Amino acid sequence: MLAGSLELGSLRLVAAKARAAADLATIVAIGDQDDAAFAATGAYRPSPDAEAVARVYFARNLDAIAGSLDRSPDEIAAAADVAVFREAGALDQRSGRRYDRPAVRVAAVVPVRTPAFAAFLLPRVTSVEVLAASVAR
Amino acid sequence: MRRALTVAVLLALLGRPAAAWSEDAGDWEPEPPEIEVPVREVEVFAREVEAPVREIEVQEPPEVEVPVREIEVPAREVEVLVREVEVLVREERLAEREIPEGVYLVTETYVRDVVTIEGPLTTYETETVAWSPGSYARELETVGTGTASELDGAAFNGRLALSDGRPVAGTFYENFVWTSDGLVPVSVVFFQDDAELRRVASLPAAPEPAAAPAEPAPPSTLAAVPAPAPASTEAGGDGSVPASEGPLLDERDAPEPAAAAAPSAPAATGAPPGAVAPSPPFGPFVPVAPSAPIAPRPVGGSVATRQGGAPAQRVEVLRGRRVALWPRASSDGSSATVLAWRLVSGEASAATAAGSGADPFVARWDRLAPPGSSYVLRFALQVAVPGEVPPPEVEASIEVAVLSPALDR
Repeated sequence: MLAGSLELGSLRLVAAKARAAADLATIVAIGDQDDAAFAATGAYRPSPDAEAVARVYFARNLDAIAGSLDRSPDEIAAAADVAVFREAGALDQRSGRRYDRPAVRVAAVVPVRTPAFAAFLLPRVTSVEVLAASVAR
Repeated sequence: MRRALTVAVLLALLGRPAAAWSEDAGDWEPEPPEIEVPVREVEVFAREVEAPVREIEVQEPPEVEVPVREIEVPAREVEVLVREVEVLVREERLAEREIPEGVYLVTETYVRDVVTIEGPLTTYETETVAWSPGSYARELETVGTGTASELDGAAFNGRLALSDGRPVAGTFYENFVWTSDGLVPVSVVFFQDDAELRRVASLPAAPEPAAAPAEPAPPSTLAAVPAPAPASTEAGGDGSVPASEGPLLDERDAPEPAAAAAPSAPAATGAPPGAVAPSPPFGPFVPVAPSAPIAPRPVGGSVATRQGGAPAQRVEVLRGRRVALWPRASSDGSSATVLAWRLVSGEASAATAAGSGADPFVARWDRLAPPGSSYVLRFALQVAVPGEVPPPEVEASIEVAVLSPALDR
């Protein structure tokens, strides 16, 4: 029972860190500006490589909890659903949200090892879903 | 040959006194000898003396390699220098010409008639530019308000009328160009200088210009359309106030604009303002049709996000990001060259304060603007407009919204 409680607490901590990793990845990705779009219109648009930047920083941020993950951070980031909404007012089909400004969104499933749950006939790996989106305002 | 000549000369010198001696003569005193040298000998001697002199003169100086350094002179300065040289050349030519008394070289050129309405005061003035097209002018007649003139209708820009129909005050000038036959008159121009004051009691609540100009102009300034005949009393295209708005006072009743009401003093610059349509100095004169209005030349400024790009009213930049903005200008609806710009007002963390037309305004913002607001940058642009010296200065502004990444929850 104690082991199960500790495992549950650890799972919640790792899940929070995974969400923070996704949040920070979207902030980094939205924090770069498309120079060509600025020159053409003067308006802010995410950088063309915003999606790649989001994946890279998501993986880097997951490194801190890599020991608790069932897959490598790079594999998790590569499998993540990263979307860049370059125009304001875009609708996110996955979350149903509408962004009033250009946005970068990361949706991923982070597999966290939970060996203590096996004693209770629960899965040894628990999937944590994270969803993060950032805009420049 | 030379020896024989020398012997002959000696014989002539020695033999002449003896031949001239006479027994009748008392005291013999020999006369000063007269030496006759053959002309041929003198020429030969002169050539021998001149020969070395020529040789000395034709010696060329040694070639010295002077280091050549390329100096980039701004095109604007070159234009100014060229104009100064042209003026000097004209003055030099002027000095060689016989200019009748009362005729002056034009130094102030007519641009357009301007009617300005400021509350109850309507001012009739003439816009000029300090430019010498190489023509000449003389004053024909200075007329007062309502005074008819034989020259009415002769000026290519017409003569406007006050709102009560009386022709405005001003001065007629006749323009000349210099040809091989001398000065040839080409046109007559009227420099208006008048004002009128409406009675305050009859003013409407919100006075509006009676007629809007065809070209964009400052709100209180109307580019006047020349009246084809001074007898026109209709208030319309001339920008004057309709007579139906009430009794009118002319410049003599205006309390303040006395200076503006007085006819301009051409002698202030040493020469009277003349006017011809802008044409090459001493080139073919293109007459201006009396019915053709002199179009104003609106000059505007703007800011673009790239060189030669479209003007932008607002830009969005990320905090801390370095961006470049390009001041632009337009004249007569087409792009004009920005000679220089300077930042008049606006906040930025790091920015260039001034530059030439080829330099962008580079800045970054490290601080966000207060919530709900943006930074506004105002620039003063010096724009190159043909025929306008000094170049006009216009203002351009742009709104800068500084953005920062944030989570969207």
